[in-house]
Amino acid sequence: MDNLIDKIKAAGLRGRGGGGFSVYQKWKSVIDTPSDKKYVICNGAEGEPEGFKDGYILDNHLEDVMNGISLAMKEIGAEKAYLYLRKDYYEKYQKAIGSYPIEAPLGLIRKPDIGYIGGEETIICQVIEEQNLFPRKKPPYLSEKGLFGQPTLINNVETFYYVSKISKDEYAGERFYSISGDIDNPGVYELKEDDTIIEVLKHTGNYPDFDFFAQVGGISGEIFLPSEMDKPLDGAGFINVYNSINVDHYSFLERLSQFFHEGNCDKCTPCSGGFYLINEMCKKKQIDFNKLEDILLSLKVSSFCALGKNAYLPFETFINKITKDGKH
Amino acid sequence: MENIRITINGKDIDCFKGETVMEIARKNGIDIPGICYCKDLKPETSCRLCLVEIKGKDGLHTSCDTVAEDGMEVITDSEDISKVRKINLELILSKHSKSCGSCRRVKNCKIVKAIKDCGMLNINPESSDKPIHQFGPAMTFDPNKCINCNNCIQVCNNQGVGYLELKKEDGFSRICPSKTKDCIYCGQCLTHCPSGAFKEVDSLSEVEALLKDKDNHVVFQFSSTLIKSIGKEISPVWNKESIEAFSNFLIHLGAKMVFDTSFGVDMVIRKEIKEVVRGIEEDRCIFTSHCPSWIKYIESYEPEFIPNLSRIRSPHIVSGGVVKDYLIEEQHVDPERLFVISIAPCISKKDEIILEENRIEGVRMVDYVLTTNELHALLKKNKFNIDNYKKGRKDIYIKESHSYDSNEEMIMSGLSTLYKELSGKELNSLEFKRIKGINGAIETSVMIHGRSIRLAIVYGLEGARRILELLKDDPLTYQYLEVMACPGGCLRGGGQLPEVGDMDFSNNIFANFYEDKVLKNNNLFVDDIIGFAEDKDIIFKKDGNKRI
Repeated sequence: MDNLIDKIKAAGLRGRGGGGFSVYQKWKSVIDTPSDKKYVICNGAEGEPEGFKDGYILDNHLEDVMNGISLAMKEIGAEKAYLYLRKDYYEKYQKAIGSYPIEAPLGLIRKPDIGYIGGEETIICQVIEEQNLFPRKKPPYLSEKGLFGQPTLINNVETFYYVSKISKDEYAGERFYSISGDIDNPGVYELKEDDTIIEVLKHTGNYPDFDFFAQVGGISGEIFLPSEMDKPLDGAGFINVYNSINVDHYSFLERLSQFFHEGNCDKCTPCSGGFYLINEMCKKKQIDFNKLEDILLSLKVSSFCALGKNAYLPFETFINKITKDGKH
Repeated sequence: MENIRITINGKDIDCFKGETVMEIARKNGIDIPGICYCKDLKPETSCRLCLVEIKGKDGLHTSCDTVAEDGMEVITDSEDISKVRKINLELILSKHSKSCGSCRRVKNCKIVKAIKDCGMLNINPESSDKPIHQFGPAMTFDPNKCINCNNCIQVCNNQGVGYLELKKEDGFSRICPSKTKDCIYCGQCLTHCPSGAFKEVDSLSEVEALLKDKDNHVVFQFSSTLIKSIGKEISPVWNKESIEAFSNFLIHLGAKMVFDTSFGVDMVIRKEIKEVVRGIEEDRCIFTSHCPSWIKYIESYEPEFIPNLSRIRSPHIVSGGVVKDYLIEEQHVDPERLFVISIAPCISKKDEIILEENRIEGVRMVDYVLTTNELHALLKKNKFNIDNYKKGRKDIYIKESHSYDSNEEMIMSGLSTLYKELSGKELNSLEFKRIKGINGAIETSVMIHGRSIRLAIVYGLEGARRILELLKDDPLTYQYLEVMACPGGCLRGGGQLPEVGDMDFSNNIFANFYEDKVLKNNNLFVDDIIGFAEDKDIIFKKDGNKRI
């Protein structure tokens, strides 16, 4: 089997940006959409407040990432690729990336200073097109109508890294885990994709000997109790461990709501008004739980983009699992 | 258009492919609440109130940007929908200032309507005191009322101005005036703002104070056509009787004289010939200078076209100046006590009247401009009732036969004058065609002495910019260009009343354009005054267009 797309299919690679969508299907869709012009985007926005993994990969495996982008361009017949990096990565790797020989033109784009939403894939298209910084309605998906209205393949830095590994037959189902929080050995680790969260913590010498919980899958990820960690990680490769006794519940929610308040685009009401109100209630340490539940419901069912639609999850699971019956 | 069928709340509805669920619902009498939706804008989908359920799709969907598909099953009201609408409305209100106060929207407020539609009982808007932005002498923006729908940014960008920007502040994206660009005061942000955050700079209180002092000689002027959006506030029909009654009302309030800006138009048109002849000599297209936002746009964004601008002052400035001059010199009215007030559907005129180029020896030719909105406030305050003002028409100088029902009739009249002057013959009919591919633009041409004079009329700067592009390629594409900065012309001006429900901004102004019309080359009504103006320096700007 020498065909890259078939190898990706056989490897069962899933996107590592957090969505976990089948890489094969995404590529196939771009290939199958007829157009003279196609684009590839590598997303290195990495907007997580804790830890990093794409930065680690760029640090250690830049060649493979570039190779992955190059392979993708060939495979889908892209006219141009863009590497979209958050500010510090942009500054750090700008020179190194420039020196990589890549056959087709590569645009290096710096993420504007707009917070977490800056990693949302339609916003990335808006940035490259120099349009207003609001997400676009989906469908149409980028694979059909993306950058400049053309079929566009967008994958995360880590995904391109593994595409390169697959092409060299060096992939055996690994992924990167960024582990942070109240642990002994914070850092980025490459381990098996089907390891359970408990195994990942144990293999890295990070399994706490105290009462703990963890936010898994990034800042929009779910809060898990140890009893729920006997399964592989779903979503982006982040595990943030908290000592249950040390955590101030108000501070936890305040930090979370502050992050989303500052990192959303303010396009639509649930994000724009909702996170601010949650943040205010947390700051005042007067949480109206009915109101909080209402806002979370609105986010979940009536937000425009995936940021709002997913962000209810850490709040809801934290309240249900950690603050017990909704009281501090 | 392809016919499709969907169901809304179980009812079969035939509709067209490409229509949105909201359009279909509203057409069929099904009301879906919504605040940010504007018919002539791309849906911003920001308020998240027009939510509906769609069978087979998770979550709730905004009906304003959901395009109907054949067989779609839509529910517009359910317990879930109602709950989430209320939650979102509460979030919107948490950004919107507590007091309705003197809000221009108070009568047809979309927010108030949404509160009723959503059955909200407890409303507790937050109070905040962010500083108000002032846009020159014309407008203000109150961030305490802004609900971040971004309609204003969209219209401002459509106009090609981009004066309104988003800036992150305390975690919020806030609308801010640009530090590097100029506002042209077209006021489209105001007419598209559902939360009343934009407002014209108030002149009403000063005008009221002037009227109270009986020693003042206050003169009003207005174009009855262009302020007809006030019509329904005055009487069911906006006609000669209601215009007279309204004028009587102004006299009753203390005005000494009310006259029609159309006199100014007449004077301007006579002189416009000089400018067109200049254009022909200089091989350049002459732009009419009636619209102050257009002038400001050219000055700020396309300065290479400044020589193309007609040096003639706009009609209300000219008529204001002529009347002032006449009253001072012939009737010995004390200049210190003489005030001319224009009522206009326009925000930009508030800026226009203070420009140096529109003064004579430093004196303003028009002292105040009231927008149609302010006029509405004045009528409301005084509990205007048409029946009280039907009698008498002393001191009212309104044209009996009105030739300018719209901007384009005015320009046609100008063209017929030009034709007569240059060819010695009457121009009997004139056929306008839409300009292909440019929104809100029409053109026509006349042959004079074997020479084709081509003329274009454009409403909205989006189309105007396209014409400028044509002129950059070939300066002789047109000889005469009339631009009104507001899409839809003055009838959709920034000073007009926001209408009930959705404002229909679709350009139906050209609708009757193909009917045969006898062009009238109007004789002037007050020949005395006009004759008086002939030798004076009132019509032409002394030093051309130069903003100081």
